[in-house]
Amino acid sequence: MPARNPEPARWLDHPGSVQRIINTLLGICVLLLLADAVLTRHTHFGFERWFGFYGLYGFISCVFLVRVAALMRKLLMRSEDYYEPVDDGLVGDGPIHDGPVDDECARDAPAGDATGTYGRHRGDFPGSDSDG
Amino acid sequence: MAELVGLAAPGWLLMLGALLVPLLPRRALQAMLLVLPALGLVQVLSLPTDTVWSVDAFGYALTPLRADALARVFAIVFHLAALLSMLFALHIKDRRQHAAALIYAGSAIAALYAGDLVTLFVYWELTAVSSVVLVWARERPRARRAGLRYLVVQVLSGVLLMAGAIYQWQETGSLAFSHSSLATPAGLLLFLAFGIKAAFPLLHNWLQDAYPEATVTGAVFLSAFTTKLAIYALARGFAGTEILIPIGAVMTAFPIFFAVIENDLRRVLTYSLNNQLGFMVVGIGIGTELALNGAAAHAFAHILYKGLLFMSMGAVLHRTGTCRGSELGGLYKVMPRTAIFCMVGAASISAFPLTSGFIAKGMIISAAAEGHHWITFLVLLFASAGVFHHSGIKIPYFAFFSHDHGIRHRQVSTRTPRNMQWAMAAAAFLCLAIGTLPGPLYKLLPFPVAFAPYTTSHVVSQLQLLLYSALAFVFLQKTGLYPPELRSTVLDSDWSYRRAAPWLLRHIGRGIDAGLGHAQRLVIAGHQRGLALIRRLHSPGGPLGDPWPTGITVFVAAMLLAAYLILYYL
Repeated sequence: MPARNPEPARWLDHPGSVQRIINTLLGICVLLLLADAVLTRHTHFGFERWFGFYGLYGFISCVFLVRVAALMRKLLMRSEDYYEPVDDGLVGDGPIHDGPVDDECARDAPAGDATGTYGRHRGDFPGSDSDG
Repeated sequence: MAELVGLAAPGWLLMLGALLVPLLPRRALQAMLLVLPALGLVQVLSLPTDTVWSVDAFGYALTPLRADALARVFAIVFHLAALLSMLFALHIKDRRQHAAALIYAGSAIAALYAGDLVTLFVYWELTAVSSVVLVWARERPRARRAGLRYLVVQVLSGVLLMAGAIYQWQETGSLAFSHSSLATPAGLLLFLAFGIKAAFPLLHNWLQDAYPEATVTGAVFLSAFTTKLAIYALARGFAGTEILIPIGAVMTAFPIFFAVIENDLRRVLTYSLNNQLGFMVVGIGIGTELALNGAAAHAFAHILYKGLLFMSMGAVLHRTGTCRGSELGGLYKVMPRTAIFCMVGAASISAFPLTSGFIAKGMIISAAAEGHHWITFLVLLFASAGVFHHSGIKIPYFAFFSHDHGIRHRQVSTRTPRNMQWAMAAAAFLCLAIGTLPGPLYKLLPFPVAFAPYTTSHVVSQLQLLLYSALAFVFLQKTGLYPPELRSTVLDSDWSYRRAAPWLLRHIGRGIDAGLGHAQRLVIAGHQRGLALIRRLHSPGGPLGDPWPTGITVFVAAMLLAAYLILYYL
């Protein structure tokens, strides 16, 4: 389907753009680290005055958080239908085409594609368009 | 006159409005849904902060209306949340949801003004019963069962509250809802009742269980009222209760591990909701003026940005029919505005400078530092970095920017209703406005504020913490250490009552069954053996069944007489 709707490449689609964002982030991080050298803080604890404490603490916290969470997966992860079957029905939240609506980005909504999907869902879940 | 005051008590306007929901034409209904919260807000702002209305009902002194600064700040943000959520839900045709939402918001607001425990109990249960409709309205089997579990937990909390009220009545003769102590059974029961609704660790799982199963718009309402009503109740009843500090600290840290590996992005939001409640609980536990101000300010800011995040994920669910991180991605191309609103919410929950989270959370962390709670301080910093990691980055990244899994071409709905977009825009505006101009919010807080959020020290520390967390995200993604989003269920404490308890009960039941069966078999077998013995003894040819010769009879009689004589002479 995407082939039918060739879309203009976005700035974010260029491989260099993501790298540029990361480089900017790195630059800001270095500047923030240097700020520690000139900044006099009003602190309550001694460790707050260690050079680069906040940055290092944030970085280590996140790595710790993610690695521990990944380990927890081994213990706690089950299949999606572990408790009960997955029902992807959209009844109750069904497609809504009613009242004043505004296409947030009309040019990217391939009408044929979307209505086809909608039709399939409506077939699967009768009554899905009966309420909001 | 008194009755008039009662009807004019905040919240009743919304609840009475629910009666009109089935009657009004569609346009009038939509107008009413927006006008009622706005009128309620005017009413709250014009209500003098020392208004008290007491009645004598059946010999009990009840106080259905007690206005003060603490109730006021919560009531204002509850009205704002009701207004924004109503706007977000304006297109919904299902009138049950509108009626339930009005009663839910109204009863939560009315509960803030309850001056006694019986009044509080009534509204407490009314929020439970009305809010479950917003889960059930999803009309899916999963939602029906999750709603039922939610209702059981909520009603249990209400029952504990009632029990606490009865104990307090017996101990003190008063039903007043004021500061309680954990030293009495009444205080303990109330603490537990509030703790369930505030999602204390291990009492929390109803939140993650039910909210993601609610309707697109229902989850926005749910995210605002129930838990913050509990925070309000804790602030009123247990301010300065030390045990709340470790409880809150655990609450900030432990849900975020689950948030990292959870796939359903609305469920990720419930975990971060839980984490944010932890900050407020810590503030209440510290109990200084700065800390309590911080808890109230954080509740205020949190309701708005959490509502905004639930709205943006609701919009994604509305458009794509799913909220799974594993299937989303690349949506910024079709939902650019929602992506921006979501990022404003994400920045606010992460407490970036110039957002509402920064000026509120900073008060609580400063209060922890001033109280020299250094462990708590470090846990709160860890949780701040973590919440940025899983809510600030993960939510917008996996929904809007990560690898496009083709969800854009499987859209269920090609439009985001305009009212949804306006609601998100308004919430995003408030997040930024409060963050840049904290003065008006600080004026609403229960105590005078002497806190300056925008010092160089605060801003630089916060930016260091957050941007190095972002760096960690980049590092983990680049090195492949970041766990991928997978379609899965992550076990949490609800496993105990959804799997372990039923399994245990089944096995205990089977054990009892087996034991009973065994005992039954033993009794029957013993019975049969006894019968067989009797039959054998008395049947023809058996030892007792045959006629005995006379000689033996005489011999036995003589032996008995001899034994009698011997015993007599002994």
